Amino acid sequence: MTGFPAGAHRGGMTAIPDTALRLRDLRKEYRMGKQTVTALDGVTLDLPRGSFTAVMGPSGSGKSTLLHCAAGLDRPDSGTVELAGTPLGGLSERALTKLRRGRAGFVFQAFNLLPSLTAAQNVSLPLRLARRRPALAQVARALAAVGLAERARHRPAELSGGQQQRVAVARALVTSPDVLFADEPTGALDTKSSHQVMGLLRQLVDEHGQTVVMVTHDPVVAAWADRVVFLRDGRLAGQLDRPTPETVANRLAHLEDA
Amino acid sequence: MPTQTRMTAPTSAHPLSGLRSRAAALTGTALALVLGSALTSGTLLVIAAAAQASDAGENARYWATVVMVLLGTATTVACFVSVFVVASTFALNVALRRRELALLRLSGATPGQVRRSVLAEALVTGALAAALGAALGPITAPVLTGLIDRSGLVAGGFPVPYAVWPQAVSFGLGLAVALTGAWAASRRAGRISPLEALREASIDRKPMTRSRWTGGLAFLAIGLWQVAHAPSTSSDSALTDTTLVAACLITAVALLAPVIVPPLLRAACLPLARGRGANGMLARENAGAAVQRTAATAAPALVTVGLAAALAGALGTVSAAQLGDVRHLVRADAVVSAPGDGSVPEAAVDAAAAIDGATVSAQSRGEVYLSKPDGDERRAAIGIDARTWPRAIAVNILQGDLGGLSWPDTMAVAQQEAGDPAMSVGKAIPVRFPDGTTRRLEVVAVVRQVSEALPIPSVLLDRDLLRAHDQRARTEVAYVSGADVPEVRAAIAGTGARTGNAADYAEALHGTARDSNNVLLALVGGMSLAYTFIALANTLVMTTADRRREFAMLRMAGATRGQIVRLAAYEAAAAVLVGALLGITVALLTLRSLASALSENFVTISPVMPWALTAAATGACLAAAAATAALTATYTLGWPRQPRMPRS
Ligand SMILES: Nc1ncnc2c1ncn2[C@@H]1O[C@H](COP(=O)(O)OP(=O)(O)O)[C@@H](O)[C@H]1O
Ligand SMILES: [Mg+2]
Repeated sequence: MTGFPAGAHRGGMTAIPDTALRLRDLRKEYRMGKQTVTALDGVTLDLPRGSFTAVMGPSGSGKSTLLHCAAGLDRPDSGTVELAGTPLGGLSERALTKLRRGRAGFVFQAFNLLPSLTAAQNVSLPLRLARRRPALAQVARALAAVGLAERARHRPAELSGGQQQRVAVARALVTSPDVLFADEPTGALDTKSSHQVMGLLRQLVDEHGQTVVMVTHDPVVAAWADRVVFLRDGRLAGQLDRPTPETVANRLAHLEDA
Repeated sequence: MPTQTRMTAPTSAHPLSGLRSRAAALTGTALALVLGSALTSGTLLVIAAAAQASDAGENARYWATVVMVLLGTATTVACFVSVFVVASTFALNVALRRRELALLRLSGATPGQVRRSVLAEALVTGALAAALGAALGPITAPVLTGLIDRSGLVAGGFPVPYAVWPQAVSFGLGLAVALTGAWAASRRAGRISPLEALREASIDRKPMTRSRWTGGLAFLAIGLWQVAHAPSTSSDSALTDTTLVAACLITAVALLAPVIVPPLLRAACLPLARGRGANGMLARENAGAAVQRTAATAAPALVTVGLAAALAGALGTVSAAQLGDVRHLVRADAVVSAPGDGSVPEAAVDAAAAIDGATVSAQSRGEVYLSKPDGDERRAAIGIDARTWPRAIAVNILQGDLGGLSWPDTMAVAQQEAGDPAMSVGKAIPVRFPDGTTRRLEVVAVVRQVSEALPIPSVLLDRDLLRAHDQRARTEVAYVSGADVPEVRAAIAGTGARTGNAADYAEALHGTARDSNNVLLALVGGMSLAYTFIALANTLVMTTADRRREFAMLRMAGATRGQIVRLAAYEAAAAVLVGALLGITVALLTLRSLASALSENFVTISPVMPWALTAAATGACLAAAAATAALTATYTLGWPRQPRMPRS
């Protein structure tokens, strides 16, 4: 099976550090009128290259905010983010966008495909936006890798949820990002589709050394990762290596009780 | 290779695919631009022809002037309104596409790329529409000349030969209008955050941007300053000045619409919200939530009603002041005048004077040359009878005594000449007459310019003196006191002169200018009404189609189709009503300022608001909005499956 050249293996890049993502003391507050919500309260975390990390925690604990800040989609109030060795602080919106193109791929709960474009066009979009002529082979390979070769000309409305999410994964990976960010990628999928998507992510990590960080609230999904980090009230609240659905569920229950 | 997908060139793929899928939304922009370019192209062709013909003779030159003033104003208004339509269409287009554009940002598009994709859309639409409009020029040109011909303003037109440059210019102008209109929207699009693609609802969170505040307040300040410190103006420039003030205020209100419109709309819906029905409550709450939609629906009505009322009001105000002043200033019981630029026959003057108890004051018009340091200067002069003239019309003497005119070798001068110290009372200067004689005339009085409606020429002489030395002097009017109109009419029958009261005389003096202005009004009014319908239909088609899910939820909550259709129509009509009321406010302010600016030139000036026309324009906008909203809602509800997937 043809796969993706992951960021770590990309030619032309020298001195790629072993740490794909380095977060130092991230803080972020949201102000809604008079109320202030602390979404991140000093998070420090390192993700090694080729690791598969799940982020868990109660609803509102800051998981999405953490992901957005780490991926350069949002800016923390303080603290530093280093994505594949490049600090994101102080970059302009334009520079940040250009950096994201090559370094970060995204998959979200809502598949976020452009409804007017076909699956193949959706996958080719990041390349076109980066003004890289999308090699047809590259797009086709990406779609084949997620098992949707024969659906290339279909529009999102003609695809099932699982299929749409696999198109989204193909789109996220077509630029060979250093880190793939996924926020509840299975949140809108049934068990079978969910299984397919997780298998796909696992395979990317195992066979191509892709770095993946994924937010989820489902212990079964989290168990596909190498490591689970827990978040509560915007703070890290422990981690779990080589998780199983049972150990994760157990930890989660304690977390919510405390 | 398992699949081959045909793809367009890499960089152009996203804007163009977007263009294709939103063809419907861009139709309004395109129509507005086609209309504007066709008008501009036709106008420029006519103006080019008029400029050529003006070398040909007096009549053609007059024609050319009329054409340039009329069509020039109409084109300026067309450009203003079409920038407006394009701007509001694109603003709405971007607002509706926020999620899609955020998704592009999320997929790696830089703010600049998003901005350019919006501008690219404007460029493509603008180029196509402007080209079509420019090509239509040779068809619109004869329509325009026909309109002016039919009004009877000028006798006989001229053919409009084909020329390339008017079409080239109007194409460029159309493109410029499209890009100007889309500029602000593209800036807004560039500021969309990729995170917006991840949020659930797409309610307008911050409809007021800093540039909107800045622009809106700046235009408001300029507009209100103009209203407060209305610079003195003449009736000739009244239209242009009014257009300027109204355009400033309208732009200000449109920019501030997201702040101004929702509270007004909530107030307007209050009576219904108190009722038991759901429509009032829903319309009221929706108005607050969907600020962009409401503002975009109100804006076209604001422009049309505001501009139409302000322009018609300006013409009405000037016209009423002219008629009012002539009636106010003319004290004579009957006025004898000659049709056109003719002269009242001396037989008619004598016949009127022969009526028992009647006094006649005849007034002749000719010209003299004043000897000035830089050489002789030509001046218009009237010859009057100083004893009877002040009884015929109200005269205001600034200095001296008009009675002195009955002595030999004297003259009076009007206010506008009194600035020259050599022309003050008691001084004498050499005056040359058309027959070649030169006499030193002493200034005995300075006469005030009371009203533009009855202007006093530079030099006033004894009528016999003027007639003795200017063979071409014509008797423009004979004022009769002490005899009524039927008596005078009977006495002068058969002389070719006509008789009427002061009001008839006013009509004879100023009716032509008013007719010419009414052609302009019809042109501008018809055009901006057409723009309003385009803009309204466009806005409502775009926004109503976007409300599919909301309508579906209402259906689930138990609303009948009829209730939803009525709700959509009601909401649109309420927004249009608020827009129209704001337009009326703008017009009232503008007219008040115009009246005070003209107050130095007229005695009886007061703002005249054209209520009937305003009501008709408002009614037309309301009907158009309600009908379009109801139709699109019916269409949206009746289509079982949308071809494109709604937002996830
Ligand atoms: N755009 C925002 N504006 C205001 N508050 C926000 C925003 N995004 C997140 N929050 C708040 O920050 C906290 C963390 O949110 P989030 O990171 O989305 O949590 P999670 O993904 O773990 O459910 C929550 O209390 C949430 O209400
Ligand atoms: Mg979340």
